[in-house]
Amino acid sequence: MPTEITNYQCPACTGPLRFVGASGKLECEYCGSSFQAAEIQALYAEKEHQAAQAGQEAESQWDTSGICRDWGVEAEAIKAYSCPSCGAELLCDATTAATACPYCGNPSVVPGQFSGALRPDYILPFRLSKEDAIRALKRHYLKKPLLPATFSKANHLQEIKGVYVPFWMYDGRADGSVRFHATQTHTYSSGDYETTETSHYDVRRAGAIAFEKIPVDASSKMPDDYMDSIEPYDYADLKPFSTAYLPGFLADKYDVSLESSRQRADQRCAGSLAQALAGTVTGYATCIETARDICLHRGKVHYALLPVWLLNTKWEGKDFLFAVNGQTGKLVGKLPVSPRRAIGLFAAIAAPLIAISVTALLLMVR
Amino acid sequence: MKKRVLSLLLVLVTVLALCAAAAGQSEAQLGYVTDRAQLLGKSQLAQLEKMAGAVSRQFQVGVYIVTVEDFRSIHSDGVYKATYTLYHNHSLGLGPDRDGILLLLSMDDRDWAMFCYGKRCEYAFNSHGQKQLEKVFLDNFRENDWYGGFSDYIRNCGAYLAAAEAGKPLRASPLVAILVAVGLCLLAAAVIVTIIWEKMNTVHSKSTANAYITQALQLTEKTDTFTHKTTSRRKIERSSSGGSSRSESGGSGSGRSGKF
Repeated sequence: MPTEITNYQCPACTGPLRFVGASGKLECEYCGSSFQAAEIQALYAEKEHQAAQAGQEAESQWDTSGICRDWGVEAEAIKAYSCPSCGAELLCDATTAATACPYCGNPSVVPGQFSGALRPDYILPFRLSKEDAIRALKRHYLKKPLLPATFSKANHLQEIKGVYVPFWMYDGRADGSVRFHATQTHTYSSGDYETTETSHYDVRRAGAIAFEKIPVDASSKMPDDYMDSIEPYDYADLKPFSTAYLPGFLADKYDVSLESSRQRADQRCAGSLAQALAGTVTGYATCIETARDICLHRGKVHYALLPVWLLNTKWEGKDFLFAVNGQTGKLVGKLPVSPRRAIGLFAAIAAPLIAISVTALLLMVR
Repeated sequence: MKKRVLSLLLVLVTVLALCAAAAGQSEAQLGYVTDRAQLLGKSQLAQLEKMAGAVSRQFQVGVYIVTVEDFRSIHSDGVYKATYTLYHNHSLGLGPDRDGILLLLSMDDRDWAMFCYGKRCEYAFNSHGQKQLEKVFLDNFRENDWYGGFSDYIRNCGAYLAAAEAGKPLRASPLVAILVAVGLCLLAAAVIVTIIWEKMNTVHSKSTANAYITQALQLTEKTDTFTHKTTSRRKIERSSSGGSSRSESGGSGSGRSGKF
């Protein structure tokens, strides 16, 4: 009987295959063979199809109504799969699409999560390895004078996950007008008086901007601000979706609807148009936006998986999360601040400045 | 032979005497007080000459006063230049460094300038001292009280020089400036620390999508309509009510000039 999970195994030795960003290929850890994603995809197309079907059949065969009543909503959020390598039972989130077996460590893909309407349009393969992500984090600690001395030494990485995060990508056009109150000032002296004349203008700008593939993260597990901060991605490397890129990484299917995410894309489109229109208002001393009327023409929506390394560290009982763009290496996170170091730095800057300025003043008045 | 030597000595003595006479004439042309604009009476002039001479000899810093109808007869580029040109052309000043202070009044346009020369003089009259010194005579000059202004000037020059000789020259209190500087330094340090602090958090939500613009802004309307004009006026603060003065430099010394 086909299972809902697919293991990509090496055609040469049946060892587990993992996608390696640096080579852009699936590599076998045991015999060292490497394969193009398209080769493996073709090889496993039938197996995936069967796995997806098995998933659908499983859902249709099982009556979960009783479980829901007895176990609450959590029962719906958990799914059980059987590892095709060792037969162990894998308990995953309802959104999990790629994971690793905790018993045998083999990477596993749940093709059913990406079948039919749930199939992503694109995938941006990982380019950076786990080691690259760790190096990026170490670099991030450098030249941070306010970082507690013990943080980079005493904290240790709790977890490093390479995750394909589901994103909605919106195409569209923002069209509208923005009004500004702008002023010009002219100052001149006449006799004992200085006169300032302020000319007030009602400035109106209208225009349109087209956008393509504005990403909005579609996973409720991912903090939106982190996903915004690791942008932008280089879409030149976007590939048509294939599960062959997933082995070795985690992946989730979306759990934030298209409609819920749209508002964030709309806000960003409107923000860009207003900013671009404000940029055309020049030659004024002040310029304040007073009104905006922006209409958004929504275009095509794409569903894509984008690569993110998530690094969790723990220090003095607190968790610190860092996210690394799996393609560009851009790292974002919130580092702790040592109040003692902040005071020390303040004193180190202020003391010589005060000493120099006071000495200069005393020399001047001598 | 003796006659020749005697006649040579006679010629030498005559030449030296003539040089001394020429130098004496130059000194005679510009005493401590020279009133070419004829603002002072004879007795006033004599009195001021006596006061200025006493102060100058006591501190070995020449204190001079010159009045002219128009400073342009000395130097057309400005009253301050005329003042230091006069000082140097007449080799004013006492001692090896020719220390001295010269006050020039030009009556046509009521211009004045003060020139300090020499290390000892500039030690006694720094920029703050010069600024304070002008206050003592400008009030008198604005009321055409020439003798009062000049005598105040000489008296205060004596006081400044005495203070400098005692090692306590008149200096501006640096307290306010130091407090302001300390405040600015603390503010600068706070701004720098805040910027570094901000960099500890690199997580921020985005409000624009500029990285995903495929077609740049197509501007369809651009109107700038003038609506109204507002005017505000403020009185310009002057350092002194009857005129303005400013610091000057040049002529290897320093000074001030202005109108009275």
